[in-house]
Amino acid sequence: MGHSGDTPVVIIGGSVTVKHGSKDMAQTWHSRHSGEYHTASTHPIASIALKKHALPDHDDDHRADDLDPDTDLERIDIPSAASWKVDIYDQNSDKASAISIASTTSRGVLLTLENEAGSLHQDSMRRIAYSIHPTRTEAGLKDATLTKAVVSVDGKIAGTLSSIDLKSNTPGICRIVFRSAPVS
Amino acid sequence: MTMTFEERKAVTQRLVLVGISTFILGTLAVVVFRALFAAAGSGDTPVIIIGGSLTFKAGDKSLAWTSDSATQYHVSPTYALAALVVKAKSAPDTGDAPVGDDSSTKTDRLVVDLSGATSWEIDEFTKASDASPVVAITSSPSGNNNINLILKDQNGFLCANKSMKRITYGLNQNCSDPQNTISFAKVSVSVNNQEIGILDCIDQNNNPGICRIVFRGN
Repeated sequence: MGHSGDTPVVIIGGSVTVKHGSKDMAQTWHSRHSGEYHTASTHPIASIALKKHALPDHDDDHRADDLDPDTDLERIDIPSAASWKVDIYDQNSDKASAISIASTTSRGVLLTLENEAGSLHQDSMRRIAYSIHPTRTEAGLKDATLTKAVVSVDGKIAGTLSSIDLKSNTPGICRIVFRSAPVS
Repeated sequence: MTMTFEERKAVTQRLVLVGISTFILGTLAVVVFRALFAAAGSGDTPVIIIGGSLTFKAGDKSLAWTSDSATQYHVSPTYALAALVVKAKSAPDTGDAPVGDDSSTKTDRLVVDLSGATSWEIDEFTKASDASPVVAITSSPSGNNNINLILKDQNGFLCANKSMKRITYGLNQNCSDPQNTISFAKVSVSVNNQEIGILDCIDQNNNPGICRIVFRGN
């Protein structure tokens, strides 16, 4: 039986914040080890999309527009049963990724700190922020500017989503959503 | 009240006529629908990039490339570009006729929406030229629907076939490079002068350099 779709993971540019964007507000991130957070998606991730516009987002709520393929600028479809990984780069880590988000077994999603000089901070149960400093500092959060997201499917790079909002044309501002329903 | 034999005969004849008419109309509707669907399906992919080699095909049946110079060609579709798509599978394509399922969104692997773009540019890179593109495909600066194909590699060549449906990039004048010499790596997509993404040339067989990238019209 089909389902109406959900967006269990949303990356918010401007800062580098990884939000649990599910419609079910009980769905949250769980800390596993230092520099690792985990959650589970009720359905497999079917696509990863860069939205045309990155609207302001400072709360834990789901955004209905995230599910709408008509407002996607770019979309990478994930074949069923494929493994996937998204490496997120910020302006200070152009050679190596700052964080990564990857599929695990049983529809799990793992958020990992890749840059050991940086750190992850739980702003709420639904929002994890990346800082370029080893401890949480305002400057460390503010200066973490998303530059690109490299999407790999079954270990091969499929595409790179640039951090851009067509309306503002400001580098670093973007919204990337992980969608758990096939686009019709 | 009961019908006479003549009345029953007349009713039966009318029912048979209605049945035959319905069958003919239904068959006609199916034929017309299929014809319209086939026309739409083959007519909205003005340009196709074929990996393996690096070949640029005028995908629409009614289109062919027009030479502007040795380093520039264009096609002139009657519709604007809506999207750039990497197909999930790269079907073999060595002729001028349409192949594969380019119009079907169900077999798309990666989609870039270009419908709102006032200008766009798709730069093609090979493994040997990772820093600068070998070819660029651009929207028309005149604002019409033309799609321009421009050679960027000063050491490279563009070679059109006789029908002007297929243009191949190569490193010698005949573009007769040995197989696997030209390894198509990726395209960079810019909209309104901003790079919005990079699409790697790969399909479900996971062989680098093998892909099918389709320009889809409105």
